[in-house]
Amino acid sequence: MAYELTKVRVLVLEDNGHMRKLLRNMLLAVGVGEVLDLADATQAYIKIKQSPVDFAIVDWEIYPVSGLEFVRKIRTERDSPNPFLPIIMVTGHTERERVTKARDLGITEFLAKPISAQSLAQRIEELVDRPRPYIRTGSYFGPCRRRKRGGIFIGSERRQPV
Amino acid sequence: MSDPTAGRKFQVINPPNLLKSKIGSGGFAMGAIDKAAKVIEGLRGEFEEIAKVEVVKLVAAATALVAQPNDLAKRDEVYKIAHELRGQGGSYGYPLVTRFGDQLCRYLDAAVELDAKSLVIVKATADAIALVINSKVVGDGGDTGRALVAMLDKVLAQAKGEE
Repeated sequence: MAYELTKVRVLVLEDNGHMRKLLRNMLLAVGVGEVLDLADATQAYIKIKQSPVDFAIVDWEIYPVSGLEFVRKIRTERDSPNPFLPIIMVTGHTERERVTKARDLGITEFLAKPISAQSLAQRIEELVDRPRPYIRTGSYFGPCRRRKRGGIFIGSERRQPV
Repeated sequence: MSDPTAGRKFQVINPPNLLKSKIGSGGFAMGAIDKAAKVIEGLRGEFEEIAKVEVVKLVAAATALVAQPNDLAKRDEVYKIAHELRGQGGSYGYPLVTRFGDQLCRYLDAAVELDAKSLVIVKATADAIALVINSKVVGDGGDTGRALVAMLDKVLAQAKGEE
């Protein structure tokens, strides 16, 4: 059996109209049932509170608040529609420090532009088949930022349970 | 040396995988990813039309920046257009647009002030992006692509060598 995507609702938050259309049409092509595509982060926040989405694809450069601020709100605001919402951040900013910044705000997956059908599909598969646990510390809430290899974390344990 | 993260308190939460409950297992249906790839192919002409307009704006903004190197609005405009083009070119078979757009954005990210040598690089890179789009230099561009890459490398090396 393959994925049954017809009941899935996805938010695409992207300010570039052509890119928004591309992502929307690609999602529909792989079988996603409904795509809510918007350019405005504030409007998107309100809309998904009214009617939830199953995951979101968010561009770094959106308005009136950035994609990063949108992620922060989803993860930490009291009125968040879903702090555990799987979020794929899509951006042309692939510099290491920017990727780290996005991870530190709680994105689930990072999708570098230029995108392909394969790269988009892989990130969705990561959300579905390899979800990461969420971590709450004094300064962070979001998916575990440690990447595992072969199911085993490589490195020394530096954290202590609460 | 002390470890700043040592002893940090944390809580691990394993929320139910609602997405998997809804979607199931087994990956994408056969042919689904090919359909998505065809979407990209179908939008290629639209991208090329948009890109033709954008490179005119890019070259105009780069030319204006050469005239007024301290104008931050013009610098931002160059950056934004190059950033959008680098993010899309590769999807539509224009990896050189992504490569040159990336070079331009990284250069602007790194340069605090734009002197005469920097402006030569900015303008040459903007011109190269425009040439790739206007001449439909797809893929690696063959001889044309190699010549463009070599030309930009030379401009960059000359600018660095004179510093």
